[in-house]
Amino acid sequence: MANRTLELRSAVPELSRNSRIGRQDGPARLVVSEMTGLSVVSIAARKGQSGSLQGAVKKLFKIELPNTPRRVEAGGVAFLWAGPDQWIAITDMAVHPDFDRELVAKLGKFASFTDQGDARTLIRVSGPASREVIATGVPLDLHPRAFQPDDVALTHASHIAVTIWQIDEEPTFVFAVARGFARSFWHWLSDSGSVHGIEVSPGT
Amino acid sequence: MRITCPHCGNRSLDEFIYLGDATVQRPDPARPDALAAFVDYVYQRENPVGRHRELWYHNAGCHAWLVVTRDVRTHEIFGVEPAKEVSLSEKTTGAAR
Repeated sequence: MANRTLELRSAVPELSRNSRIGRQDGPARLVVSEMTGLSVVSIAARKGQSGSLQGAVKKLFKIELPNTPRRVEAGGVAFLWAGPDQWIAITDMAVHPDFDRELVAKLGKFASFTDQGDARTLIRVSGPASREVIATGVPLDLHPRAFQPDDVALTHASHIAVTIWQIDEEPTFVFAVARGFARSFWHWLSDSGSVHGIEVSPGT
Repeated sequence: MRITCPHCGNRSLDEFIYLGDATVQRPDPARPDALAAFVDYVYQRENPVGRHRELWYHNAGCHAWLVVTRDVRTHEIFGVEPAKEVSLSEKTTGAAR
């Protein structure tokens, strides 16, 4: 049988090429790009094994798994809180191509690991208008006094379930959206942001 | 109305789904009067005024079931606990049932 490989294809084709959307004069006040080339794995601790999992992760990654909505990162692997006894791990696909299997081999006793690499679309949003645009669809206070780098929230954006986290003070936010909803999410984001001018740069 | 999720913090009502009375307990199916007890458990609900314990689900958040103690007249919320912990402590203390 022929050896077939599946082609990686974005759920949001509009994010795969450079473009300027909406207001054309002046610098774009919203910058959007899809984050690609990442391994994304969801983690759910087995019943009563959360403590053992956290101990094993600490040994392996030199990291404390967060028990509050936070993101921690060490050695190129980020762990995000994703609900009680649940997390999402994100890392470079080139370094960890089979990250779920890697985690199962090392930590399978304590938790279940599910590859989400083709199930979630990660969209990075930055620029001076980012808070204002996000506020049109996300019912959370993202003011720096309430939401800071490495804070994580599970919520919805324009009625679409998302995980949102902040990665720097510029500010830069990342949304993880179910792949099937990613284009609806983009529809909302591009409509809400066009008044400010959106710069789309292809994924990194 | 806003609910302070013990995991996610203070969130708007539209992130939650209401299930209902959190005080009912599933009867033991081995009880001799199990049929009558299950009819009560499934269909009979009090309609209290004032403080009540209810189950809410954080649907657009952490997907945890919560037990919310709320005044149904004023919507004042007195406490929010993860349903898992409530259930575990009832099991260990043998409360209700």
